Amino acid sequence: MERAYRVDDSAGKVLLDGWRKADRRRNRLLFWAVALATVVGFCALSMVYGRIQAETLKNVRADGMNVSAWVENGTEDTLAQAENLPCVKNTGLKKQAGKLYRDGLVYSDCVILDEYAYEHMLLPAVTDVHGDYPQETDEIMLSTRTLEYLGVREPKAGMKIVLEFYWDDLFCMSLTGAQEFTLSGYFRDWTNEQTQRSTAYLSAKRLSEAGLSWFPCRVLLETGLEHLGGAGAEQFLCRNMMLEDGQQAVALDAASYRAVRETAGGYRMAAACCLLAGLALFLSVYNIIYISMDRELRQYGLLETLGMTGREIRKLVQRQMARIWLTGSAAGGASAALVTALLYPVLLNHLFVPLEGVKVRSFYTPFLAAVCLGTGICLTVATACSFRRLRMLSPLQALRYESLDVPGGKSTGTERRTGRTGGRFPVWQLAWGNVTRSRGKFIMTVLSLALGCEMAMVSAVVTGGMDLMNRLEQNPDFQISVTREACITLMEHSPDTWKWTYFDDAMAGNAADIAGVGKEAVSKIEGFIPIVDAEGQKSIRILSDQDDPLIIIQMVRNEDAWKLDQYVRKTGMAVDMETFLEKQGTLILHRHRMPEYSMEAAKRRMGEDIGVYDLVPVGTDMSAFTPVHLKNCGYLDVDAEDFPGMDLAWDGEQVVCLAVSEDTFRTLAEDLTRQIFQISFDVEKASEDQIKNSLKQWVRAENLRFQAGGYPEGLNLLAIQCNSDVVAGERNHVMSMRISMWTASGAFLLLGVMNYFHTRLADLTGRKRELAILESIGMTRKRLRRMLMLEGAVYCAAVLGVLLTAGSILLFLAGMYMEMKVDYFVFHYPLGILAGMGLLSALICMLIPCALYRGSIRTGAVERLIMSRW
Amino acid sequence: MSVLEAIDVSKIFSNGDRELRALDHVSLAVEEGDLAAVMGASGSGKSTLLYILGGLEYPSAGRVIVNGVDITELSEEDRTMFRLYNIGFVFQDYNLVPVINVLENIALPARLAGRRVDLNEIESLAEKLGIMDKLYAMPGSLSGGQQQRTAVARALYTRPKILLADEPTGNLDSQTGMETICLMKDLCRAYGQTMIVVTHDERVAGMTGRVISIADGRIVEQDGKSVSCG
Repeated sequence: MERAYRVDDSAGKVLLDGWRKADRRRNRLLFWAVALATVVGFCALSMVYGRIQAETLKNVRADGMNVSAWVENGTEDTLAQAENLPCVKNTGLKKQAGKLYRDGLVYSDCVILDEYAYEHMLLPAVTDVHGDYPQETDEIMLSTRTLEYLGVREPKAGMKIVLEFYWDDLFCMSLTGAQEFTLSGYFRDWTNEQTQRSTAYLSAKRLSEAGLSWFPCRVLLETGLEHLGGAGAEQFLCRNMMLEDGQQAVALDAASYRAVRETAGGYRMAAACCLLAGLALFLSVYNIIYISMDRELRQYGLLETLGMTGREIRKLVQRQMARIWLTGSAAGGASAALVTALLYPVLLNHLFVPLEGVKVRSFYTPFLAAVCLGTGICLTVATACSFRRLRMLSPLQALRYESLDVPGGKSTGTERRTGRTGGRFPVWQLAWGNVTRSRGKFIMTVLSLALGCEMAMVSAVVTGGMDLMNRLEQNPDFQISVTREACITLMEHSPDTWKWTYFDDAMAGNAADIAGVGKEAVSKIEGFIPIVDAEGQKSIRILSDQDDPLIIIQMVRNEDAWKLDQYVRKTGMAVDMETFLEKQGTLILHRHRMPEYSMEAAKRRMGEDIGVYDLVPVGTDMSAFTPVHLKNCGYLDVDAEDFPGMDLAWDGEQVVCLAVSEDTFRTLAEDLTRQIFQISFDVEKASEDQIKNSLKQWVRAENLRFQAGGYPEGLNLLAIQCNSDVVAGERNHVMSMRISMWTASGAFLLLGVMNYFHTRLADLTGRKRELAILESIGMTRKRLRRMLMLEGAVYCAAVLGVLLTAGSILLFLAGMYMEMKVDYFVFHYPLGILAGMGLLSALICMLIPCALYRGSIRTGAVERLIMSRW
Repeated sequence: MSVLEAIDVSKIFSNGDRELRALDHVSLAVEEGDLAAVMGASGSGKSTLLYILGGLEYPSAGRVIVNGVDITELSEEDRTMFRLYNIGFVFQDYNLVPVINVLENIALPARLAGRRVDLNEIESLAEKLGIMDKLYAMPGSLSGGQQQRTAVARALYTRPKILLADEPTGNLDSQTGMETICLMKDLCRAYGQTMIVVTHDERVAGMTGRVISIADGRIVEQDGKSVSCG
């Protein structure tokens, strides 16, 4: 039938139209590969990103502020310096102004924030915000925790509240004492109640009216250095800022950095996973192009013979690929958008952060652009690879191209003579020959499926190993500890602290009795609460004293001392472990409180005596007492990367801990009053709930007894932490972590399977003629199916081989890396998953080709033979 | 005047440590309007000679001058362009582009050259070649003879100076083969083109005015007399 004929059409247009119609199957495969790669890539990326975002949010809330770097005691000059640093995006100011007191006890810090710090650093870290930041002198913003402590159950913005406030600057008496404040707003904070004091916010106007200035204050830095980690960012700031004595640049691991570490083990691991994922995406496109290359190359060769230049052909093919890319990306992008827009928000917002009013964003346009760009690059590179081959061939060679690259090595001819031709197993021989005749095709096919499986397994190992339950399961069932507030209160206000013990052996014994565990099963954090002499204070004052730390002596168990020794050896720190272990030495443990300008002084203080006395009532003349001397063996930052995990009283928060060995502890116990800071133990699982109730009742009774001794209602002596409560609280979180990583695993496995499917489909399409020939010379369809199944079996065996060898090595390497990065990571070889993958691979490898073949034999062999020429 | 000249052309194929000398110092000249046949046994080097003359293969040594241009000095791209404007090919296995119909296959070289397609001329050529009713058919639905005629039409439509045919009747039955070669001869004569046919069929060779025999990569016999078409 005659059709409209356009005489002016270019050769390119005519050929493109022709290819579009004739190469429908290949183009469709490529379209699906691009679309699938886009969906899988974008969904996996969105899921992981969503999770990182949620984890970041969680971390920000736990930190109390969305900032991880600052300069202590910053001045206007510091602020100007910071603003001029290219890595600093924004700055904020936080002035530690004063404190709120009740019955002489501090219960809240008062700070003043500038506008940027409030809006961009505080607000992201708190929820349920009502009202506004204080503007007037008498306005205050409080957390619901503080309001509850004050007995205000139903707060309202604008309500009046009487509070006792004092500036930190002891010389400023203006606006101090009990006074009426207006509650300008209130919020809910998510910081750890047991280790962090609540914070109240005051207006800048109050500061100026009291005649105080903003500076010195904490200059908060919003940097682009999160990826460097705390240590790296701090080093960068120290190198690039001229800080004066008394100033300290502090950078902690940012919330996002920790989130990446908790999700994927760190940026490097995340980058490696992205690389593997990128390779999987690339293979999914490349394989189809590679396998259908024979025919393409013949066509390109013909066009070159007819007078079309390589450049013209390349342009033409690029146009063809661009069309496939555009349609595939559009379809994939639309599907991915649907999935992420409809499914992810539900998953992320209901599982990750169940209590927040904030929506976690899952559809992130740059990711879609990146994935589309990635598939575009894959297509371009895959096409370029095929053109590289074309360039290596003359037009005639391309015209006659057959990729029968048989296994390498020289044929000796003995194979034929010895009759190794399959003998009684001709079908097997054919299958083996088919699989191995094109080494490149075989490797690509195996690699694509193996990579999908490997990605799923790596994902499973990381998810399983990073499971929060691993960490929680390491925790004891119950922890009962003395509260830091009670400790400080007693030290400062108790009329009699002679030989005072806060948590004595009898109480610990009672708790153990209630729990039904023997005393030997109770683990204790023990130490002393000393008074440090003037010389010793010099060693302590080297540390920055922002938060007025409590000084304690804590015994380090022998196994922890060994870990410390290993850590010191590994890092090569200037620490005198010998004196610490064998003589009366102490290591000063702190939470990142050593400013750079104090490093030299700290070295000089090593070897100096720290004299300690037992606790005495306030006002006692100390000259009558002789101190016990400890040797300063050096300073260790418990927040440093790779610092060994060890139990510290109050997790080391707002505490300077003089760590001593077991021997030194025993010696000190002769002169100082031994304190139990915390006890912990495990109980029978069957009776855990009942014991929990009993212990909580007991702790409540002890606290009431303590408060009855004249202490405020809100001040507890003991705090109990039940691991089952923590586990229950984290259940959603753990579930969400598992779901997100399993989704990513499933997506990559699906990509691997679809990749294999596409590869085999393209392969069988190219082998149509060969299969028709075999059928025409008498091979039954049953035997053909058997041949295809045997080919699948070879592929499956090869995939399993790759997974068991290179795949296992990769898994172990990933496990080792994760163990180095995450202390609670537990490596489990995913044997069950491997078995499942094996079974799945067998089914996929053997059944897919048979199904594809079955679909292609609707016509007779001769007809297929004729048609397959085209 | 020689429209095509090979001067001391050699071609060596190497495969690892093995070397195969396909052409060994071959020299020949073909005058404008000549109709010549290159004959020889399988593996004698006749197809290699044809491809080198047409710029599809590059000689290991020697020069090839086509229409006054030394094509061995041209770059790959330039040689391709030169081929497009000066040389038409007919292959034993037709080599039609399977994704476009007969008409488009014939018009393809013209479109590649950026020329406007003259439908009347194509129809006239198709009429002469007996494929008028197949112009809108896809190559896959044609018989071998029809496909070869399409290939001939494609080679002739842009009126190249030289038509090179590699065993054009090799895949055709005897009668169809003779019909095809007669058509090629007639059209070459009509268009004033030079034609070189590689064949091992003596009847085909007999229809040309000049026979060049080749064995082991060397010209062993040529009558030295050019026969002009017509």
